[in-house]
Amino acid sequence: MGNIELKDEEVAHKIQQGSKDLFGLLVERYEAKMLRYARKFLFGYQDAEDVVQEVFLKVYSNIQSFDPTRGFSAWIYRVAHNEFINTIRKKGREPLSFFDPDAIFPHPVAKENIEKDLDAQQVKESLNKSLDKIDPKYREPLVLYYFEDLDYNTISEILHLPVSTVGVRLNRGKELLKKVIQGIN
Amino acid sequence: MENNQEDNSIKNKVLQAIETGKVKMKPKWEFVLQTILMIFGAIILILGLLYFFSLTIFILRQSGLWFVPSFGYKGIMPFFSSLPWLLIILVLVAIMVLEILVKHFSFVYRKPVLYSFAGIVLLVIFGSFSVANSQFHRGMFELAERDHLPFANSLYQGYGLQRLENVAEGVIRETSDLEYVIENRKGESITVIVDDDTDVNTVGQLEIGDVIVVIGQRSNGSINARGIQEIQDFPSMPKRKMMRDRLPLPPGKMK
Repeated sequence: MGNIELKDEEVAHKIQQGSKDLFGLLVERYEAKMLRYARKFLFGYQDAEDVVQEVFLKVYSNIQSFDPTRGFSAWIYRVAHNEFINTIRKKGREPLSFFDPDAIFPHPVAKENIEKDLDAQQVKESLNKSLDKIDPKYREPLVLYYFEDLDYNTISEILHLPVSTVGVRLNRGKELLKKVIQGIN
Repeated sequence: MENNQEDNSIKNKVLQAIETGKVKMKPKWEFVLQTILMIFGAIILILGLLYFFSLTIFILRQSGLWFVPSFGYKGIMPFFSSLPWLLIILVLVAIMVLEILVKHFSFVYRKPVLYSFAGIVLLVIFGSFSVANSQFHRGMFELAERDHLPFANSLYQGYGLQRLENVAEGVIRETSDLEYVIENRKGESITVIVDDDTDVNTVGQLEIGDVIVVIGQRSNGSINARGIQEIQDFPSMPKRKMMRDRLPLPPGKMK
């Protein structure tokens, strides 16, 4: 079996065992995704390419901490999330609160997919128009859900938040988006 | 096309950084060590929490402060003004640090903070009461009294024998019409002055050898009692029954 057919987790495992050359394969597979994530989430910040390059260097440096029995995608997005948050903090243009009331109390888990199919295109278009007007706290789950096509569980794993909180943030994010779009119109 | 050039450029830069050794792969043991240290840190924090919170409970019982809320509204001010706030703040800070530490584990961050916080608080409360009800702090306190506890002598002597401004506890040694003389843990004699406004909560008549907790204003070896509470279950106090004669309470003070 050629390396090209290997799953991400298998490639990562081989890299951990010493096949450093295979890292290029992971970069190829995730470059476009990471760039899209960076361009949407870090809209209006510095060059997304620089930040994404830093993400891949962090991935390589920390790859021994990856557990090959778990999903690689969520892990690399988590590394990217940390790097992007650091970028926002360094720039200091948007407030990032340490205290998060949404994650304190349990919330009923909102339904996904059905609603997503109905208004996904509309949300994407609205989000594209007003990325810089949405708080990073809500912008990030919206980007991960609507542009990266990730489910609640994976987003919960990336953001280190309860699944129910992901649902709450998506709903609030969409409400904010509606208000912003109404304001623009 | 432009995208491809851009993507290739990122890939090339990353691979070049790896080849030239600008970025190095951290060894696995570093992450294993990190996880072990985190678990070890969490265990140490939990043990620390159990120690300090159970010590707080022990001190409250030792000083009689534990029984002060039973005086009702009269006990509220003396209770809050005499609490060992330093220990309580230390416990609260340690709970918050522990919460932040355990948030690194997926079984914690995937649930609302309320659950993990409640879990930690319940663990600390139940664990601390178990330790406080054991002989652990009593033994430590007795060692500290004999200066046999090099690292914690001052902690136990300072807190265990602290003099509270508005609260006194001790064994009744003498009694007269409107006064009791009690002996506290330090061996000091305190005159308890009783008047018509003093609330007295006792099971029966107070007698010499009974242990009481008194709230009121202290001055020069006496305390103007606003309330007196007899303590039935007070194993830490040397309840020496020197005189078994039952002595009457001052008139009109029995409840």
